[in-house]
Order: sequence, then structure tokens, then C-alpha cells
Amino acid sequence: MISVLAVRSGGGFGLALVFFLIVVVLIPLGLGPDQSTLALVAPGLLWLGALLACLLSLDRIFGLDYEDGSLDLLATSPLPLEAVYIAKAAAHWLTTGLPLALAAPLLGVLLNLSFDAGKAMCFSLLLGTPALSLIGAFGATLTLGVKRGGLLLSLLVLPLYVPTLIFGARAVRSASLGQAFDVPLIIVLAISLGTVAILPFASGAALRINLR
Amino acid sequence: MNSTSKSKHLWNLFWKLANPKVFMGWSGRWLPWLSWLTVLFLGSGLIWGFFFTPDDIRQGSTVKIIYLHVPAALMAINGYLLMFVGSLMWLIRRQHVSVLAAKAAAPVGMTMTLIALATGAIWGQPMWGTYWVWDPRLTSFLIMFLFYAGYIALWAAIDDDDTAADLTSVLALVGLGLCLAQPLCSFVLEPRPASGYNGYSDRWNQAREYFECIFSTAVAYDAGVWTAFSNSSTNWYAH
Repeated sequence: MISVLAVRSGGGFGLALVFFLIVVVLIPLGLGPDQSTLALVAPGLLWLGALLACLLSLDRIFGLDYEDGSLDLLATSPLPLEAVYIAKAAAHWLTTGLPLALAAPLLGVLLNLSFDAGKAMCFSLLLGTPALSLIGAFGATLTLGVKRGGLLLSLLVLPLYVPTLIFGARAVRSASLGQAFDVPLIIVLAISLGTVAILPFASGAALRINLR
Repeated sequence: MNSTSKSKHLWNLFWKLANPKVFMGWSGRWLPWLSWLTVLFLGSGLIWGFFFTPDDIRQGSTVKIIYLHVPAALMAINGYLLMFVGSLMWLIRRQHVSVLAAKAAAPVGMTMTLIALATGAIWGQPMWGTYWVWDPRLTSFLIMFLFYAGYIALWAAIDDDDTAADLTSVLALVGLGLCLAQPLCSFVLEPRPASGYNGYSDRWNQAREYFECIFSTAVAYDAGVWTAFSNSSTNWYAH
């Protein structure tokens, strides 16, 4: 339900994907079209592009609901705010993380990414983007009351994104070199599971603080 | 029996200082003394470390930056610890002094992180042949610096003091879990240290140098406490 609303709220759904496409198109224009160089940097840059595309729509997660008072209504509903946070983060993931993960291997073709590495890219993004959405939605709850908090939100969220980025990109890099990539992939999954276990409580608290 | 009553006395003093008015009076009285102590310690510690310690066999006089680098790095991490404990106590017991300590610890920790990064880079150039490597230890310190910046920015961005105290406390708690777990994970995947950094020099075993390092650490703590106190004197309880 909230996911449908997130799609319809305008601009969020397609925008992240198009932004991701533009980043991927700009990379060879900046680096030069050398195929081996592109294959070398593709894993990290694709992850970075996905991360930035994710960041783009974060202040939308709670922002409009906070302004028009829907969040107050949600807070008075029988649903605990922790569950509201999870629903919002899930909606964000369905509208940005999932499409990005599915599109990444296709865009990898533009960067001379091998088929195996593309597969690893898809897996690592599928496992890692939930963490990105959850951490991002947590950051959004912190900056809810701040006017024009977009820049602050990035400053808070990007340091927290680092572990996910390191291990996600490492999995793809290992795969592109023909090495085993199960360990970084498991760590990415662990980060996602850890955030889903811890952050609802932190975000619920932050929402309550902002709504009082 | 005697020791238990003494520890109880200290414990009572601790909670009495949780009263902002008592704490401000107390820290205000100590601040001038601490200021002079800081000047004295910082001056004597740095002069001692830089001019009156012998050179290392392999590293030459470059090793002396350790008297600035190690205490700063320790203080950078302890600043985060103080921030964490202060935030936790604020969320549990709602004592303003604890969140005030957390707020005052952040700029101290950030500055110390910057000093540790800068001195490490200056030391790294002659030793490793480069100012910077993307080694897990260095990377996590850089991320800690960014995290301090985010924490301070969040304090600055929220107008209502109690809301800001609550939200930054939540951030400090989450940051400890996510940010500081990262170097651990990195070491799991990449256990080898950066090239050229293999343990300590031989002279580290000597008791004298040990004392010198403890002294320089004490200097850093003193400087840190002084900065935190002078930060807290311009705090939001004044208005």
C-alpha cells in the first residue's frame, strides 16, 4: 500500500533509475572509452552510482508525510512507529533498490563488465540495497524537522553507508577477477540483517522525538 | 569496609555533579587551574618529546612524531567513547550534564582525529613513501572524522535543544554499531597491516620511553578535558 503511494508520490520511482543511467553514461565520457580501464573500475562505480541514486530520494521518505500531517495520523494509528519505519524503508527499497539491482547488470554491459561480475553485481545489490534503504530512512527520521536537510542527511548517512559499499563493491571486484565472492556477499547480507534488527528501534525513537 | 564507604562517597559525588548548577560551579572553579596545567603540560610534554628523547635506530628523528600522534589517536577514540557514554546516560537518566559532556566531546574528538590523521600522514611520507594508503585503520579514522562532523552538524541544525540532544544521542548510539564495526570487518578480510608497519621499534621496551608516552598521553587528556570544560561553559544552560 505504502509502496504504491511511494510510486505515485511523483518523481521518486523513475528518477533514481534515470539518475543511475546518467551516471553510468557519464563515467566513460569522463574516464575515456578504454575497455580494460572501464572493466576495472566498473564494480566500484556501479555501486557508487547505486548508492548516490538511493541517496537522492531519501528526504522524500518521510518529508511530505511530516509536512502534511499524515505522519501524525500514522503515529496515532495502532501500528507502532517502528513498523511504519519498516514499511517506509521497504517501500523505498521496492522503488529504488530493487530496480537498481535489476538494472545494474544491464548497465554493466555499457562498462564492459563480464557476465559473471554482472551476476555478482545483481546479487550484491539485492542483498546490500535493503541496508542502504534502512540506513537512509533512519537518517531521514533524524533530519525530519530540519528545513532543507538534504545536505545534512547526506553527511549523516554516507559515513554509515561505507561498510555496505566496501563489501558490496568487493564482491563484484572479486567476481570480475574470477575469484570466490561468497565472503563479502555474506558480510553484505549480515549488514542488511543487522540494520533491520537494530535500526527500527532507533528510528522509532527518532520519529517519536520529532513528533512530540 | 573503609574502601566501600569511600567508593560510595565517590559515587555520591558523581551523581551530585549530575546537577548542572553544581557541575557548572565546580568546573568553573577548576577551569583556570586546568588552563595553566594544560599550558604547562603541553609545553613541557612537546619540548620533552621533540628535543630530549633519543632518535630511533631505523626511523631517526621521525619517530618523535609519535609523542603527538599516539596520544591524539587515543583521545580521538576516547572522545567517541565519551560521546557514546554521555548519550546513553542522557537517554536513560535524562541528566543534562551527560549530554552536555557528549556535545563537548565531539569537537575535541574531531580535532584529535584530524591531528592523528595529519601527523600520521607526515610520518607516513618518509616511512611508507606515501602520505596516505587506503588501509582499514586509516580509512576508519577518516570515516570517524566524517561521523564527528555529521554529529556536530546535527546539533547545529536543530533549534530545540532537547530535541537536538535526543536525536544526536540516537545517532551516537547507532554510529558506534555501524561505524566502528567496519574496521573489525575489514581486518577479517584483510588481516595484513600496511607495508612497512611491522610492530614497534626496539626502544619501545625501555621503561623510560614508556613513561614518556604515558606523559604525552596525560597531556592530551588534560588538553581534551580543558577544551571540553571551556566548551561547556558556553553551553545552552546559560540561557
